[in-house]
Amino acid sequence: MATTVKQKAGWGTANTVAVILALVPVLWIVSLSFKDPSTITDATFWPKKWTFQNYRGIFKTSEFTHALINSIGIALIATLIAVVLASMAAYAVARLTFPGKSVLIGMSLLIAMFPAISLVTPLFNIERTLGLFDTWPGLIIPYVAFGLPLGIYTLSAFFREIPWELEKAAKIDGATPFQAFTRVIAPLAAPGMFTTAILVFIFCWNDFLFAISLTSTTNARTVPAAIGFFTGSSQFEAPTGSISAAAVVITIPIIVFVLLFQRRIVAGLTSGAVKG
Amino acid sequence: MTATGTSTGRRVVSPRIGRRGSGLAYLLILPAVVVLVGVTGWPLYKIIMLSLQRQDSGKFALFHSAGTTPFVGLRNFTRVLSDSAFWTVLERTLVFTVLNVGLSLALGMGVALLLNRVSKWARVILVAVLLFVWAVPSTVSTQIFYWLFSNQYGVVNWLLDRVPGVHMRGHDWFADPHQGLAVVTAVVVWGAVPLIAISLHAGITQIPRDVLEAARVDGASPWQAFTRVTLPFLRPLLIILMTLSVIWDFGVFNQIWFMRNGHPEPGYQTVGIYMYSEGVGSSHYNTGATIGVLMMVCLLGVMVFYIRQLFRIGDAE
Repeated sequence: MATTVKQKAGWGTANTVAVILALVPVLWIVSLSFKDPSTITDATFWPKKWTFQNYRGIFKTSEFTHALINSIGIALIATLIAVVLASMAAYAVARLTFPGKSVLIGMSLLIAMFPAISLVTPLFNIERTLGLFDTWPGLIIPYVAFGLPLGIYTLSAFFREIPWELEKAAKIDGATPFQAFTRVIAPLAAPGMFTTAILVFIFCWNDFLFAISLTSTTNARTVPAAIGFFTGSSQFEAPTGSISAAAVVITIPIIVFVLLFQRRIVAGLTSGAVKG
Repeated sequence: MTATGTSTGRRVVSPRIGRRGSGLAYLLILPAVVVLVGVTGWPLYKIIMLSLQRQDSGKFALFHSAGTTPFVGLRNFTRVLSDSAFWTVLERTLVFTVLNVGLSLALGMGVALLLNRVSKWARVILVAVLLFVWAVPSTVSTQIFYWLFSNQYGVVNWLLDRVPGVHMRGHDWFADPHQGLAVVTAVVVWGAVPLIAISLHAGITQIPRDVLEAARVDGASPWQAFTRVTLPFLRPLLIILMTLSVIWDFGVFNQIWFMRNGHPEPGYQTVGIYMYSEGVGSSHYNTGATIGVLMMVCLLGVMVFYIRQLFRIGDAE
């Protein structure tokens, strides 16, 4: 393509502007988290004096440390269960024919699209009657349910791409069905399952709606919900510093995922788009 | 239509598994179905029942079975629908949805085109940044924008104040719900653009090069090439992204709830917020459930349309 220097410069500038617009808000919260609580309102972009005080502050309160443990535990368990269940269902969808298959797909798509907000009120009631309210399973179960459609959808797209003839070939070469599965199919399926796990984990990790509605104490409250309950390090201080420090802390795993697995995440997100 | 197409298609690929697979298939999908029905089917049933029962004061009535609270037919619905507050909220939600979906799609398309034009390293950086923005929890992004627009130390006021003739120092963006919702729109759009841009970019790369080349040779301007070639190609994908965005933005909750610190003023109420504060917030569960049912009825058409579209492009198969 013959693009002139001028055009190139134009697109380059547009690119820079897009990157800056996307990044400035995030950099700003990082900067706030390193400001001394007394200078947080000084309206400078970077701190005049860098300090870890906000971070030390939040890790001293059980409000935050509990929430962090809850966040990690709940998101990991929910992701694990969701990926296992979704793999089973996706295998059936991608590989087997059975009556009611399109009903199942249609139903899970419908649920994926369902505004979760409309189910929160009855879920709140049901969980209170069952004693699940404000417990780990009380959050894990809804997360699994809302992670499942996403998982089934992405995984069945991945599973359809696997060359299943290899399984037969391995059996002809004398492999047992178990060997054929563990040596041939599992390594091929692993990347798709991993991608799905990342997407589901990010969903659980970031959720606010269920976390705020289905918990009431530090028992099961995750970080996104706990941030709303922060108080300043002294009662006369706005909790701006602590909130920004907590926000940075919960965003770190996400940054790590994005940097390490960028290509996988894009593949998972666009598994629908590329086929369209 | 899809069901027959699928089964014949499968049989060609793997005849053996197709015949004996039914039992195994049901076994494999059973756990997923149990969880899905438990977490969505049961509440759905419950919400419909609640919407048909008498509004009971106090939370207590909720925990009893249907037998103890009398059914009142559609009385809850007539009460909600005859309340002018509901219509105000609905109108606000519709305007909000149209604005947010339009802006997200337009900006997403812009970024997708940008991704297609820039050099490889620039694209890698931009995609990384987009993914990053996509993955930031909405609570965090809302908090960030709240501070960016803060009247005491917000960067936005400071920047606008530098423009000659504009006095924005100390301006409170949240005193007027319209301005406040504009800030919410900024957060929602900022968070929505990455997924749309990355999907559309993936779609654009699927357009055969020679078609665009042919358009250029035939003397089409870049704008013509965009409207006559690129857009028709992306149409199915655009429809899917649009319906998804409509569903998400219509049910907006986190951003507004968090922006107003858990106490959204009446002027900030969209359908999701209205339902939550009427239901969980003030213990009028029957009213909350009724609003929830109405909200789903509003969205059902969009959802059915979305699923049909997915089946049509053969993606859901």
